Amino acid sequence: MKSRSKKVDPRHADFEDLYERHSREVWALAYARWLRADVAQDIMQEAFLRLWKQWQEGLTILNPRAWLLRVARNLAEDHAKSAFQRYGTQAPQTMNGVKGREMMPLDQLERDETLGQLRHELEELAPADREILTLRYGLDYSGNEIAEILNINATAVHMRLSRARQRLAERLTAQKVVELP
Amino acid sequence: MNEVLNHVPAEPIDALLSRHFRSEMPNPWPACEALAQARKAARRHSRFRSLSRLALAASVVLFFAAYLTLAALFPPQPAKGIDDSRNIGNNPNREHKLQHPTGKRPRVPAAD
Repeated sequence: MKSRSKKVDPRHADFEDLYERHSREVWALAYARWLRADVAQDIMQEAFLRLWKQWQEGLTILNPRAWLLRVARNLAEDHAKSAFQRYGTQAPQTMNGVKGREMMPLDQLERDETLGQLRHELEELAPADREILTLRYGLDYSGNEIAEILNINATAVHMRLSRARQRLAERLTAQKVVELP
Repeated sequence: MNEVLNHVPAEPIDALLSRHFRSEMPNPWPACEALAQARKAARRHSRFRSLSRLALAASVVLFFAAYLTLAALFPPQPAKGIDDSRNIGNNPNREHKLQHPTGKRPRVPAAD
């Protein structure tokens, strides 16, 4: 008996693999720019959609990872510009993670307050430092892996990471949010 | 609020950063929308192709069915009487001009 196998586009499998390997990095870079998970997710999906279109048009991209990260950065910048036009300064959602006034359990309230203070301090950092922190603490990447993604020296990554941690620790210790390391 | 925070045990910066970034990451991780769109488009295209093939097959079947129905309604009539078909175009009241193979008129012998 003849078996009929369903035809699967081999590009779909390759693209799925690419998405599995790099989507978190793309998300992390977009998140580092805005500190907004929903915006980062939109940017990530848009970057992959653009890559898929390039593939469909038969264009060869030698380094899809670098291409995706570059597109994600550009999209994040474009989002910043469009948000500025819309709101004047920054999107209201980015302002210290302000939420509704409904009552919450106490522990949730404390947790949100702590993370809100951390978010505020993260916003004060340079975007490049936020990228390093997101990749380190969000994805558990090593200094070398971060250096490879950001195309910088591993020593520079360690220095920036250390400086950003120190700065955050000092500020948050002053607010009694964290202990001194 | 500050009173509340003063009672919260402070945590190391690394733990706080990990907690923050982990809580921000989508969970479960979203599926790739580009592929979902491509699959949907492929499915739509394949459905359209199947439909057009089905329409073609249906029209062929309909054509034969109509042919057979009409053939059954109008059976071929058997030939009746003299077949005049061979005489069509002939005028029986007119004399046929016989032409001699030489092209000349044959001489009619004079009656004595």
